[in-house]
Amino acid sequence: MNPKISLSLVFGTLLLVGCPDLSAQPGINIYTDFGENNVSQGLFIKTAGFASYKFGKYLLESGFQLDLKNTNNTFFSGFSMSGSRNFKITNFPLEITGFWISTPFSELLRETNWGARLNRESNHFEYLIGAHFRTYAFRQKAIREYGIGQSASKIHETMNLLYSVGYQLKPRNNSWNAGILLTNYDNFMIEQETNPMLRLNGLYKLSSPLIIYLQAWYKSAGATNLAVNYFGFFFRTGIIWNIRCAKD
Amino acid sequence: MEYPMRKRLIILFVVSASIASCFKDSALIGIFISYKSVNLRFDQSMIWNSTHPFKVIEVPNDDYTLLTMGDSHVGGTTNLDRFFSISKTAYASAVIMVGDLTNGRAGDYALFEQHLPDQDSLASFPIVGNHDLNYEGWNEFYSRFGSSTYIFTVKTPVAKDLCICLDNAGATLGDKQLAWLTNLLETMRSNYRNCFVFAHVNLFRFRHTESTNPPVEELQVLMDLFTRYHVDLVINGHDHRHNSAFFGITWYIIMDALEDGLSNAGYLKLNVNNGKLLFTFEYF
Repeated sequence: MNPKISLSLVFGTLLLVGCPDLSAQPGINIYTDFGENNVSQGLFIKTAGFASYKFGKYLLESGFQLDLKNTNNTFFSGFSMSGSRNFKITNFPLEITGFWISTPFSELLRETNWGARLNRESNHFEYLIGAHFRTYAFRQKAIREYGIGQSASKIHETMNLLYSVGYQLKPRNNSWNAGILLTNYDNFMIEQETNPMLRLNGLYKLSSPLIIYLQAWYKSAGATNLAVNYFGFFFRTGIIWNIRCAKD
Repeated sequence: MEYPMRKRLIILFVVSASIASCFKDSALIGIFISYKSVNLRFDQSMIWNSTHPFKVIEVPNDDYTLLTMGDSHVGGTTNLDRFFSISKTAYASAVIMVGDLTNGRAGDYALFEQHLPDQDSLASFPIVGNHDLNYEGWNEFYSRFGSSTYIFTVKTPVAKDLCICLDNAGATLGDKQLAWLTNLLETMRSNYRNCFVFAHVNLFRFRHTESTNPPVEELQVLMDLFTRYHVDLVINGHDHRHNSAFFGITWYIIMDALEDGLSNAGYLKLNVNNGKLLFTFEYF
């Protein structure tokens, strides 16, 4: 997707933060990643922002990612949109989400993912399961420059499983928390189902609507090949602002 | 409710640690720790390369054949012997063996080496695969075959083709090997007509398997690199079932396994005729 269109959509979602509906709850999540991996040639820095708009059982969210320091010569490196709905099955609360993510990861190529996920959070545990479809495609510049035919411009992978399982030390409404999560799913990077990532996290509620958080992610390669290797790590620090429009 | 939950977690941890300790002498230890990291293997390969010049296969005309196989998983050697026999009768200029040649045990390596034709009768180029690393298998591979990251060239009367062999047995090239590959393509690719890349682990997931592919970030970098430097073919094994896709300007090929007892056991025949490439999946 064109970066201008992507940013317009994110901006449009941000406008909803203006609270046209007093029962709605807009939110903003901004974070920065810094780390290194086997392909980053040293430190990489990315930043991302999400704007969300919750009304009743529904949540709309869009986000973008910018590469501040990387070797891939791209600045705008991700855009996502998702829609969620909360529901219950025999008093068992669940959230179902449909999502679409586009990541123009180099000057030549982009990756697109779309899929659905189901997640549940209890006081201490969180679970997520889902599936998505991944497509790699050449960008127009590359198609022209390398004379790539239409049939060779895209490649589709088979459906990939999404999963997360995590544990938080404290109940969700506590003023601070820390936890651990095993997953193959991040906002702009979905690893293959056989490449799990480990995340340690901590958060602190500065005030009722403001939460700051810090995460440490570790990635390996080859675990299910019985030949595990270090791949990379990064730290993420961010702030979530859950804006209250209506008085409680 | 909190105490039983913590108790359950403690029990889970103790059971997991106990199971992990049982894996100490098993290939399963590779889930948790690496026998030899990819960077360490790469360093050793470079040491080997410093005293063993890259080979040049000279062919008499601009029409030659390479045979490629992977996943022989010796133990069994019936298909391996057939492959070498066919390679000789087809006058293959060389054979490339893209990993999982053994199951990693010293006895498997010894058996494989016994069946490997001598280099004078058939030039062969082995690459390590993830199963070859089991049971400290890299030590066996290195002592018998040496480097798993190297190049060789095929020189015809009119052109030279570049063959790059990589070690991605652990589902990553590692930062050192990736830098080596990038520098190689930047500095040498333009001197050659065709460029073929061989490695064990397949890059794309065309079907569900329990085995691992390179992390998405690495795949992204490799796709970009292979396009920029006009890599013609990327040939892998690992998946045990053949597949191929022409993406951009590169063919990404996954071979069937050569392992005995498989109904789809086979190999890949690559013919280069006046620079044009023709590959076929062959079966026994």
